[in-house]
Amino acid sequence: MTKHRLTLDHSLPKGRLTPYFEALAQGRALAECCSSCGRVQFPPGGICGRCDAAELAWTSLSGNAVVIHRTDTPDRAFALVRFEGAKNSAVVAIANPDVRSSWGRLVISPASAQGLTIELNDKGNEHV
Amino acid sequence: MTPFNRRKDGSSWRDWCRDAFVGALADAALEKSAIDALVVASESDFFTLQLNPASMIADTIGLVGCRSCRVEGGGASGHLAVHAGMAMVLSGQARRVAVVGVEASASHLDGKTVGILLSHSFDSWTDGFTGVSSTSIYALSAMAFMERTKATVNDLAAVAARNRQNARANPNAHLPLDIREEDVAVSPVISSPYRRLDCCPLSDGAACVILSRPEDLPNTGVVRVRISGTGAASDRARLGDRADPGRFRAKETAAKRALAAAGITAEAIGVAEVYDSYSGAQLQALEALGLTPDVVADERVGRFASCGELPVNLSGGLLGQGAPVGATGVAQVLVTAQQLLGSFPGLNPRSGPKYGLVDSHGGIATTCAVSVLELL
Ligand SMILES: [Zn+2]
Repeated sequence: MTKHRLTLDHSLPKGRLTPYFEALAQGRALAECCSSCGRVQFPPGGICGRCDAAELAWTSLSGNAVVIHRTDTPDRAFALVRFEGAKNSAVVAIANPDVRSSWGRLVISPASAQGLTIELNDKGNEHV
Repeated sequence: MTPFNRRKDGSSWRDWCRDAFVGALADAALEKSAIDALVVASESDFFTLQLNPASMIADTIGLVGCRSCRVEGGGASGHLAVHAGMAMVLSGQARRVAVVGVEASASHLDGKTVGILLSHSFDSWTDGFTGVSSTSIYALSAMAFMERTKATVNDLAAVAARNRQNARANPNAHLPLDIREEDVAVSPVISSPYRRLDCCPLSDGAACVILSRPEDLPNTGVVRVRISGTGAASDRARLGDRADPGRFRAKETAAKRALAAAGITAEAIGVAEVYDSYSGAQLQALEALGLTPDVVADERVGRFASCGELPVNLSGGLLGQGAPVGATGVAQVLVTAQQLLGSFPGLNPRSGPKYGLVDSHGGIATTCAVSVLELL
């Protein structure tokens, strides 16, 4: 048995999604709006999920989200949520898994987890 | 195929490829020189630490000079490699194709590292960057399925226990466990509602099948199995971009294509090996494949049990037989063929079916491959 250690420091350019990632780093939700059918999607995907159009403009969302399904691991929690104004939904990390609420808000992700993170509101259990 | 397990005997993935290939040649009564193409399935170079594995495997198993390539489609890699090999035969590019699937996903890296790598099986730029694991993504999809169909955690546990029980008869199985639903229910939570025993293991191993037209095989008088229909399709990569995150739409499409190509309907299928990376995923797959009008009702009356009307995962599936990713789909095709022949060294279907269905996917049913096998 031979031991090998491989360390990879990736630099990943984000191309046309750069504005979305720059907004995310500031805790802002920047969505795509389809120029043909008006569908708003967050997170963006580069193509309209309804009409397949590739002409999409950027539009800002509130960052508020409603939890559709939530899964808990021994030390973290993740959810499928829908951001206010968006037609699609998103897999997000939950920043405060101790809170059991159906409502949350986009926050800046920790450096170790650069995807979407939401913080749940203490109040809001009565919804959904 | 080699046994699927966590290797502790010092053997290498190159050894496993050689063993699987030699076994397939013997089964087909062919000399190595009769093989004119090699298709390799392997999901990730991170596991083997070998880029361009097809040429390396050709070199290792003595197929230098052959046409060789590698096929990758996540968990569907092995099954898609079989489709690619079949296309070579049908197009006349090759007469006898060896399809070798391999993965060293258990013993070469620690489990945490493998988990991080596999979390990039979804959209790396969104899901992958949250640190979400495969289990959590599958859990969210299962919850959507359970909400719509009223399937319960007991239904999921029944699948997890039954596949491990089926695996007990399979000498190549990774997890042949004598467990019941209660054991699943008390195993540690990985990502709710999924517990340890709802999840398939990470395995080491290799599998090989040889594809050819009947006239290009030796006339040994042995009955063979034909791939009479194939279908493949893809879905949106992110769960959140799907209209129903609990439904495997691409699998539906792939199954319809495979059945249409075979010229049969789902009712003709008498045995199936389906992609049960998680217990709930087996029920989601059976629904999508069109093998049942009501998957939850059929699960509860035992239709998919080893003695049921449509036995599913007699090998134990990924949950029981194991999941060396690149080898998984090749092994699924192999064991289904053996089950039709009645020669599988584990549980065989009692009814002697003519048609079997094989189902695999990558991502979360993002890349789907389905084949219909027919006893000649
Ligand atoms: Zn549109």
